Amino acid sequence: MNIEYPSDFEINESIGYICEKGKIKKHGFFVFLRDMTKGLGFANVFYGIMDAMLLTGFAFALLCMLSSAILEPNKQNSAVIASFALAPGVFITMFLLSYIKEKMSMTYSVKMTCKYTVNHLLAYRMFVFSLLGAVADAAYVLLICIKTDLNYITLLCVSLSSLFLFSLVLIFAVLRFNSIFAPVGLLIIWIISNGTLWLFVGDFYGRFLQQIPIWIYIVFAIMAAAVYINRLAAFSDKRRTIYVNG
Amino acid sequence: MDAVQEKRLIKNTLKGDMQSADKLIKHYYKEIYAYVYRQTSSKETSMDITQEIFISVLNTLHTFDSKKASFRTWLYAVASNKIYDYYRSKRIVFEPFDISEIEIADESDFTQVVETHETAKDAMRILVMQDKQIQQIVGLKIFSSLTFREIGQILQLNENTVRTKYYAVLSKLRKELEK
Repeated sequence: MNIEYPSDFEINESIGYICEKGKIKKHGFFVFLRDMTKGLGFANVFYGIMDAMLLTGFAFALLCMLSSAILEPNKQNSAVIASFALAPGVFITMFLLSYIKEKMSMTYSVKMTCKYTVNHLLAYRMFVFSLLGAVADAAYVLLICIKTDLNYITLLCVSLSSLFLFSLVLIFAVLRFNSIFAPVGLLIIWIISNGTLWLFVGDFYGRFLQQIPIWIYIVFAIMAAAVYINRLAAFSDKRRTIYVNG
Repeated sequence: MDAVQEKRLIKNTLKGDMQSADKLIKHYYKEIYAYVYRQTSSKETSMDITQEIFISVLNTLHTFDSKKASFRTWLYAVASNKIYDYYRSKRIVFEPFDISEIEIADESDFTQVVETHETAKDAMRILVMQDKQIQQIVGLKIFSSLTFREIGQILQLNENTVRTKYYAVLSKLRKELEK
């Protein structure tokens, strides 16, 4: 078959156009979030997981009601432990439901070939889930403070540093293992370790959490959040496949 | 271009060095253009699709994993998808071309099946009725010089599966054309 090749001039012109159109720009995570919101739309990023988010909201409301019923003003240690141990609850529940749904989806490998892959979607969602988790923690801590007279800002710092500590370990686990077992395993370890401490050395654990200066919580929360966002960016760019579909 | 040089060009391109991108594209342009041209028989269309392929390559270069396949194989994966998308978007059945003119180095020799222009057109009509994967296997086998193993890497299939599917569709074509 005789192939009619373009001239060298035409090829150079075409390559110039390709380089112009396909120019690779290095963007930060927040530009990525903005571009993805513009490109896909907020509703599409969360398409198919609204039920998971509503379910989490329902579970959170139940937790608030339960805590409100059982918390007593003199149980300050338990209140601090609850603020710390339950802080990642909303975040991890929404993340797990979303992660498992995407991983088990029949269209997983197809989605990995798109311009925005499952990793892009998950990174975006994780960021939003963290924010929602922080808002839920702020509300939960307020409820605890009303019941126990603890300092709201201190308790909020305890709660947020716990949330970002958990988020940070989670993103490292997901980046390293790329399996459903990573977040599930981490959640189990978190529940067992906090549950054990609460059950067996609850007083000591509660006092210990209260004795840590507030500035340490603040610095830790900011640093953990910064590294977490940095790792989220790495996660969204993680290579998974050789399939490409423009 | 050796593998080390190619790896360096990819790395630099990812950093935003468009001179490296230019060199990388220049190296593969004619090969990919020829692959597209064999399936479209039109210079204009082939230039457009080739252009789209390389823009897509630059946009998704960060997803390329050299541990899974060579850059050339990955490039054909992009090209194969783009050609499929092109035909699908235009809602056209494969443009007729004379398959008998295509040199096939394979022992099954497709030309035995499609000896005339009319038979070639019939063969293509049957082929486009197959699913995407079959079309891609046949397209990649006939129009590129990729091996079954490389096609398997592109489509994430076992080499033997690709081989079996390829010969199965050839056999099917032979039977259909003999009717």
